[in-house]
Formats: sequence, structure tokens, C-alpha cells
Amino acid sequence: MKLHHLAAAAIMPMAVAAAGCSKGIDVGNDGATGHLNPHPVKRYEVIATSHAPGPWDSIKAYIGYDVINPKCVPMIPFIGEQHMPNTGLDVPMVRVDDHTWKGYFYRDALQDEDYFKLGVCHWDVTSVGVSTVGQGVRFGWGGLLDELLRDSPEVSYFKKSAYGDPSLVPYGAADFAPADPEVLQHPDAYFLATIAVKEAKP
Amino acid sequence: MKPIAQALADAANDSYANRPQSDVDNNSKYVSLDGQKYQVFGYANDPTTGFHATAYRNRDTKEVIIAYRGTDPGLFAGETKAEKVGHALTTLQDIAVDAKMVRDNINAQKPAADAFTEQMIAKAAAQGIPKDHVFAAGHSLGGAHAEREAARYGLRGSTYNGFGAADLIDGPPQPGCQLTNYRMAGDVVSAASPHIGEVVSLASQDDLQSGAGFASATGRAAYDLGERVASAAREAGAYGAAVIPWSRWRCVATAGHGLAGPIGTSNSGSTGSLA
Repeated sequence: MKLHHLAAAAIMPMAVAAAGCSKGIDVGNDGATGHLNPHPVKRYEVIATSHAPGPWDSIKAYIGYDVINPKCVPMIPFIGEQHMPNTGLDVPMVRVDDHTWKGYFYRDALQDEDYFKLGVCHWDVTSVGVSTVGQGVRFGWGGLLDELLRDSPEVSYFKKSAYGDPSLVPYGAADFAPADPEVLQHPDAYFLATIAVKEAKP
Repeated sequence: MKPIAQALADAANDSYANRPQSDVDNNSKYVSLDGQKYQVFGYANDPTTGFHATAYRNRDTKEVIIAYRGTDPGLFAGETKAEKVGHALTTLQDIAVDAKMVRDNINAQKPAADAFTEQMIAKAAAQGIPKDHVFAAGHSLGGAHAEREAARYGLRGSTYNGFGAADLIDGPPQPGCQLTNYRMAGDVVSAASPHIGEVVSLASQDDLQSGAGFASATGRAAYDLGERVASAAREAGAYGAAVIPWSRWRCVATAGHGLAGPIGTSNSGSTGSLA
């Protein structure tokens, strides 16, 4: 058994290199190894704005990919549930102006594959988020792709006091809905952050 | 179904996905539960005991759901994959008559489950979400964790064909604990052990359809396992019998006059039917 593993470990990188494939992606199911689609065409643009009280130390988009047809994934014995394959990819965001950033992702970045001999598993983007750090505190905002395509931009608010609050360093800052009573009562205490997603030319 | 029951059922279902840690670290991964946007709020993966759980936060309602994943006790019993599969099948039939293996499995995961619950309550509090907005959910053996954690930390929650945890708690349920345990008639796992809180039995496929939340968490499982569960239940003599697991502990929303306590060993649990 161990010998087999060693042999597999030794051969795998060569096989991958020979095939010219990308390194396998852990997709959360032992029976499946994800690969990047070598010829993606469904290109999308993500636009983020924010009016934080200070600069972001880092900003990126985080794209959530899921297999969307459960029939291609086996049931876990006895439990009768599934380890649905999923992963997340970082996308760089480029500054447009003091309050706007832009990035691009491919909706078909993951290669559809028949991992389990139950039919081809189809990947899609389900979630698009913006992830920033300001003075050590993580801020995240975003939403489900179908909602963002239907109704962009999506608006969130953050407490201005969350920026630079050391107690939030381990946890991150919470976003608030525009209709949140606290936001409506004290709008000056909050700053605005938005995200929009739309199709882009390939 | 209570308003959040559908989201709790969907969370119990979603918690079977293995997640990359980046989902939590980036603070910007979202899933749809009951058609609403939830942020992935926390994820636990303890390789030693096989414990997994995922927490979700709804921005608009300021509610957090902690969903505990059920583990197959058979996965810990065999050396080879073939043995494991063999064990899983016999375990299923053993559950109705001897739940020791299940209890050992859950007991081994208690420290990891407690630690995750405490972390999520602390994270929620840091973001301004009080404990009475934190819910526990779980399917199958994950239901036992959900019951235990709700009792221990005084949370609301629901389980779906869950394994009853009344024998697995270290003390009386804490104030704030309120549990609804949805189960399908004939299901052996949820009939194997007494529950904490209210038990709602769904008798038929019609009930399943009217209880969409339940169907979402366990419908697929029930569909897939229907015949195996049914045959195991028949062997155990449970099928067709009055398999209503009586609750040994009450678990109430408001503390009122004090802690819940033991209220007998045979009945007094509140049961209901969705039909």
C-alpha cells in the first residue's frame, strides 16, 4: 500500500507536466481532483467600491466555484449525503480611482470532468466577494452570482469604527444591510461598500 | 415548519461540503440557504476525530447557524476501505439495537464540537450578534451534536432524522435551549435514542412534501437509503411500531422558573405531527 503511494507520488508530477495540465486543485472530495479549464471563454468583470476611513492594505476578489449537478457526485455510504466539490479562487483587483477597483474572472475557470463515473460534473460560479484588509481587520462583502447579475451593484455598510479596531482582528468586520435600523439611524457612523458583476468581452 | 427551519435544514445539508479554509479567511464566500444569502462564517475540520461543522451568517436577519455534520461511525471501524464499507452497512442495522459505537464516536468529537460552538458564539458576539440569534442544526449523527451543543450553550435549533442526545449531555439543558427534532416515521437513527426537546414525526411522503425543510435535509438521504433503512428497521422490529422517541429532557425557550430537568424516563416529551 505504502509503495503504491510512493510510486504514485513520484509519477504524478511527471505525468502532470507531460500532459501540460495545471496542478490538481483540491475540491473537497477525495475522489476528485479539479483542474483549470485551459480555454475559458465566459469572462466577467467585478467592480468594487468603498469609502473606508483609511486605505486598504490589500484588496482582491474571491470567487466561489461549486459543482452544480449533484447527480454526478456519489452518496456517502450510510449517511446519504454528498461531499459536493467546491473551491475558491483569488482574483487580483486593480485600482481605478480612490474608491473603485476592478477585476476579471472566468465563470468557466474550472474544467468540467466526470470524476466519479456518474456523468460529467458541471462547475459554475455561485459566489462573488471582495476581500480587503485595513489595519489588520478583514472586511468582506459580496453575494450570490445570480443575484449580482440580476441586481448590481449590491450595497453593504460597515461601521467606520470597525476600521482599525484591534478586537476585530481575529474575527473580521460585519457588514450591514442598507435597511438595517442601526444604519438608518446613524448613517454617519457607517461607510458604504458596493460590488457589481457583469459580463465582459472574452 | 418554523420560519428558519428551512434554512437550518439547508445548512445541515450544506455542512457535508468540505470547504477550503479560504472560504472563512476571506470573509466573502456566500451560499444560498432557503433562497437567502448566507456568509460562510466558520468551518471546523478535526482530522483526528472526523468532526466537521460549518457556520453561516445572514447579514439581513443577523442570525448565525452552526451546522454539525454527521459522521459515519463505520468509517472509524475498519482498516481497509472494503472493511469500512462492510462495517458501515452492519452499523446501520446495529444502530437500532446497540448505539454504543455511535455514542463512542460522538463522545470522541465532543471537545472539538464544544470548541467550535464557543468560537462561533464569540465571533458572533464580536460582530454584535447575541447568542439568542445563534442556531444549531444537524442531520443524522450531526443532529446529536446539534442537540448537545444547543443544550450545553442554550441555543435554539433543529435536527433532521437526528440521533437523540438526551443520554449524551453532561448536565441539564441551559436556558435559551429550544429544539425541534424532525424525523421521518420508520427512521431508525432518530428512533434509537431519546431526544432533547420537541419531536415532530412526519408520517408520510405527503408530510415530507409539506415539510419542505425536512425534505431538503433528509429527503435525498431518505430516497437513497430508503430501502436499506426500511430493511434495517424491519430487522430491528421498529418498522410499523410506534417509534416515537420520548424526550427525557425538556428544552425550553425561556428559562422561566429555572433550568429544565429530568422529567421521567418513559414519556412526557412533547411530540407533534406536521400533518
